[in-house]
Amino acid sequence: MNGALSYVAERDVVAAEYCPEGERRSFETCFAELVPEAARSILENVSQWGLKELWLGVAPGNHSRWNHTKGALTIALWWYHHLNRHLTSQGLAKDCLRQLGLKEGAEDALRKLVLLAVALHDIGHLPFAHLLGEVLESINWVPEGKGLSGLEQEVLEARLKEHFQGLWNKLGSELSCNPDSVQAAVTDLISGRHGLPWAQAIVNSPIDADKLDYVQRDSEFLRSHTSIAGGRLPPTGKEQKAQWLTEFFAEQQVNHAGMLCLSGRSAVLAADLMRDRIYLYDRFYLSPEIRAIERMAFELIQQFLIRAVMSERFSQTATAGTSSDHSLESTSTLGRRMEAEDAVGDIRKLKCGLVAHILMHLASRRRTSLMEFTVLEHMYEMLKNEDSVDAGVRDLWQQCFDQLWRLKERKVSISELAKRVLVREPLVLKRRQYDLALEILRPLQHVYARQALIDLVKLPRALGGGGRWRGRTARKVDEVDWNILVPEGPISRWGAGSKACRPLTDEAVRELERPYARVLVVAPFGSDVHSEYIWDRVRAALLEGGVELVRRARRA
Amino acid sequence: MFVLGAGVSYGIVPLLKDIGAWFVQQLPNDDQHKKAHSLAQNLATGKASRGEVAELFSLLQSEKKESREIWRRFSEAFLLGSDPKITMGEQGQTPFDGLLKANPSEGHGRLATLAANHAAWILSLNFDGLTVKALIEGGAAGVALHSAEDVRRYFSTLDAPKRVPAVIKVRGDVFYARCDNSLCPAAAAEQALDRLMRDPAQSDLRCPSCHEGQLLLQFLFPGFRSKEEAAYPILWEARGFLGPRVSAIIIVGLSGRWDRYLLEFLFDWAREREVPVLDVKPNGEDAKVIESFWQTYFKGRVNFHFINATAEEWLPEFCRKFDWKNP
Repeated sequence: MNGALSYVAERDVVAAEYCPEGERRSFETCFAELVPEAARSILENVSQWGLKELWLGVAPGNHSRWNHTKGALTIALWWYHHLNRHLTSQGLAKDCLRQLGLKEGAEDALRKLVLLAVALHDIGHLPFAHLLGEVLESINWVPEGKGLSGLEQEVLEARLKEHFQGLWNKLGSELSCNPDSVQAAVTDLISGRHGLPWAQAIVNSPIDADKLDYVQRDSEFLRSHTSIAGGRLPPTGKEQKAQWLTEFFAEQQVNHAGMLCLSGRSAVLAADLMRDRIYLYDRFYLSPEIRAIERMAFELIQQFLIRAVMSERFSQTATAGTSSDHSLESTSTLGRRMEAEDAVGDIRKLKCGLVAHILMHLASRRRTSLMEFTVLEHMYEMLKNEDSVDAGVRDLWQQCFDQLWRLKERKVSISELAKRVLVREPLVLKRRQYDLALEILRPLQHVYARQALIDLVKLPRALGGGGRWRGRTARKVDEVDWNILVPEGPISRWGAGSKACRPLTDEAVRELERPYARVLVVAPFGSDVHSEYIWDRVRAALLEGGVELVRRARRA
Repeated sequence: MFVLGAGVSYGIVPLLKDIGAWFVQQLPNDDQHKKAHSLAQNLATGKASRGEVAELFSLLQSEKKESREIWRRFSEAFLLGSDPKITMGEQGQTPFDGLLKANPSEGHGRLATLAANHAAWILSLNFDGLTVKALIEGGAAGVALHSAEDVRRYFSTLDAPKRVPAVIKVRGDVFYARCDNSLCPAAAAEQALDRLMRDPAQSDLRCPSCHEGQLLLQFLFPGFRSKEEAAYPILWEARGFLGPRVSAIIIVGLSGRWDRYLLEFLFDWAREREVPVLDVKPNGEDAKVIESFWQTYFKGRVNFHFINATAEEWLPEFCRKFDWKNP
């Protein structure tokens, strides 16, 4: 395809070719056919970054999960078209169908299945994006995930069942199979656990359509609104995107075993994508400025959820007037739910399910582009009336919310606030010592609950997303699923002419890794001599506990 | 994914106890062979421990002249069906015509159909090569992958003209052949038996490499640890590529008595992928070994089902259910 065509024109060309009847249709028409209306109503008011847009002083506006979904689907449509053309020319398309137990002629239904999975890939997200998952993880309320985080998986499965049953029935009849199997296939694709490697690479893998879109989309948003991530962001703009994607697809093929093979330029651009993604995490999503602010929101969300799930009295107040559904009041605490189900079962799953239930109700009553902040505001309103809590802790909550509110109202900028609340510099440790550090810091946080918040975050692996396998026999293995082939040698030597010949593994991209975790001390009342003492205690506790700090702490 | 044990080839290829019975008949019961004779007796009656079987094969493959002669006769009987023949079955009533002439059973044929239809992957502990033979006879090409490198090359090949189904061979207690001409390169390398089975008219054990020397059978019966160490690389490699493609692990004709490492590996795989494990074999002496392993270590974490049937009985029914025919 001609890279000089505009991005919009490109996607329309692909969309037209996608039409089974060969008629010309715009991308929007194809999109509307593919994506059920329910997806729009779920995703439209969920911002792409949770609360981060507000911290930058910008209303999320178009930077929503819904628009990201459309972007990812555009890319997937184009990508699928490219690979399918290759599969057909190589005579491998039939093999793919057979492998899935589908009959000949089901090509169109398979395409729908894959594209639908991309369209619904974010359906498991609740307000606050990944921050919510972190909150639950820190209190051990996340059931063992199947691929996605436990919470996202829970919500995904519930929503796919609740909102899209008609779709599964329709696709089931097209494919002559059980609608439950269609739903299971889409769930597996979204969770990164499907057995068709090249399709899995498009939907959920270290280089999937989701990442291709969000790295570009977020870079564009950052470039327009802040200088926080510095100048090394990937190129944006419609023509550049089209050019980039054209090159990225150019040397891709699917081999006889269904593996997506990246040779030459395709491999180089895949490496660039992984590099850019890690850069965004390091310099923006998990940067100390952002984390300092998010840690305050984290505290409010966590304290609210603990009470909403565990205390019947709190729960009744917290959810009053938010739902016309009385079942929420009657089963929204752990005790009630256990009585109702007459069994304990997996307690983490139960708690996680309750959190999802509560948040979906809170969010459903606030359908605005600032939905997440209004939910946060509601949480704080409930917490501030908690008279059984120590006054010092309540003061800290108030201070957290005040700071966040000032930021949202643009009375202060993120850099000014971060400067005020961040205590000294971050403490950096090896990622493999994250769990050890977490256990060391947990009791310290309790000791200083009235004065400061301690934040611990690890940078993600270079190969994010996709399914990972965790073997425990003879040796422990934690490795991404092998769906993609890349050239031999270190990533820096991939280049023109290099042929795909080995699986994309953690080892293959070792050069890209930033295997670190960071500890921050956040003082909502402002950094002072007391909070510096806490910082010093944190550092000493980590060192005493055997954590090796990567950089020696120095006074700013 | 199917995991095949010796039971799949029951009645076509001799079991270890049939081989034990042959040695009981062939080994002179004198002082020199007393030890080997008694060990062979235990093997024939199913009473031998793994250590005893290892000792027996070590004695039989020693460099002593008498041992070499007996082993040579065994090699010919095993591969070519020469006299004195090895016999199979409970009463020793079925003469074995040699591995090179052995034909796949209906069970092998069904498995080959599944593999050719891209509906199943096959992991085999058998040295007989009958599933690959069934693939070839069924009209589809088939390859046996004997090492982790073979597996990686198979899945990572870029320009294969078409997909050829593969059988992944897990190295267990395995027969290999080696050329007795010390100048031949094949004298240093182990030849997998399934690679010798291409020519049904083959009438002697001539080395395919030098055509001068004779192939001498080698039996690798390592201790538990060496066996595990030899098997893990190919198992992990297979798991890397097949992990998400497996929807059930179906063990057919494997007692599991001497393959605890494999059971642990397979159940761990099933746990990680949340797929069920099925154990297909007829009720008998070792029928509950795998179930007992599951109950001790994986109950509540992996779904397990025991199916009381032979491969011959169960596989056609399984294929019929899914309407898989020859491609």
